[in-house]
Amino acid sequence: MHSSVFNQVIRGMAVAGIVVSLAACSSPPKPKAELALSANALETAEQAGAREYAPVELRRARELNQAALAAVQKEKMSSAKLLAERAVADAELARAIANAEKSQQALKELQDGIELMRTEIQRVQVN
Amino acid sequence: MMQFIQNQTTGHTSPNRKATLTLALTAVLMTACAGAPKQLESLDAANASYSSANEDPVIAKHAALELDSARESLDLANSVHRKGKRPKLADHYAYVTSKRVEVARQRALQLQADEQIELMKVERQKVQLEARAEEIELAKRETVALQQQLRDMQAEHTERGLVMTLGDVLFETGAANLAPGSAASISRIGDFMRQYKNRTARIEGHTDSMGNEDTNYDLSVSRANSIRTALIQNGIEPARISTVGFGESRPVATNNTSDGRRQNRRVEIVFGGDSAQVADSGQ
Repeated sequence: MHSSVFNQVIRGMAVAGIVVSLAACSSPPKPKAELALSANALETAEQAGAREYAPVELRRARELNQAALAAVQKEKMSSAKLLAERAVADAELARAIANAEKSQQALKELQDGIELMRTEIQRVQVN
Repeated sequence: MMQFIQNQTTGHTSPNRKATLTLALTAVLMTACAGAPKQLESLDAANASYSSANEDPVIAKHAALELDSARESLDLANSVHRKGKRPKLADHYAYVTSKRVEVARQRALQLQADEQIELMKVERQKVQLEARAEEIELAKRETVALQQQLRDMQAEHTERGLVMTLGDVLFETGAANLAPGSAASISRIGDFMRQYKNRTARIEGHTDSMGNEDTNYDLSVSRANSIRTALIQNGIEPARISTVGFGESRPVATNNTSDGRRQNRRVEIVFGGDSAQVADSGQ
């Protein structure tokens, strides 16, 4: 009688152990690399001037990054990984837009300056 | 599929038809599942935007790396989608792909603009040289214009500077009042002084030796002052004009002939101030 109860307990513990180890297996680790990439991409985008030139994309990237961090808090690690990857994609887009915008603005200023000089020369020539 | 056929063939001999039907249905459902995965809108869009970017020669030229990384996530998306088990994951890679394609587009725009900037810098240098040449040309023309103006005013360069001599015809005989015909001369001097803002004018009155020396001196001072007043009325700042009378003390010709005396009765205006400009415009 005694031994059978003992056996049941042992069996129960074994089953519990398997369940626990299975749970541990199915829950992936915290996506540290993705989160670091995301934070880094956000910072790079801001340094490129995304706040001014690509506010929509930057905001989206920030929101995704926040959502990733929130998912980590809730232990939803696979979800956190995907959200962090999306944040990286949006932050990189924000940076690319900012860079393109800056170059295009610089080009326009240069062109306007040349145009102005040309008009000035023509004005002098006419007089 | 094999399972389905087996079930059907064994079904006829089985006493339990109901069970066979259930098995067959399950098998049909399973094959349907494994066959064609549901269409995924985000993936279609990602495939389309990648293809159009890939065909754009500007993007291919400037953003090959960015296109590669879009291709990577697109391949992932397509392969996950084909397996049909994780539509959310396929959607995720489709999302990432769409963003990466857009990054490639933006990168191409940036580098295209940067290329243009380099060209424009060369262009700007050219135009700057042109402008400089134009400036020199303009300065030359201004010098010529000034010389013409000085000729019109009958001014001469002397060791005292730029000197303009006004004959006595500007005045009524023996008086300091300006004659009506003097207005043109005054306005020409006024124009000149307005144009060359750094110039000052010293107005010197001279007479011939006829009559009383003191009277002649007073007359020379009064005539110089008349010109000064007229110039101030013309809009020239008083501080730029000084006067002095020399009476008969500085003749330029003999006082023994009427022609010599006519030459001695005069007002001279000595322009000072911008000595560099005087020298530049000199003959």
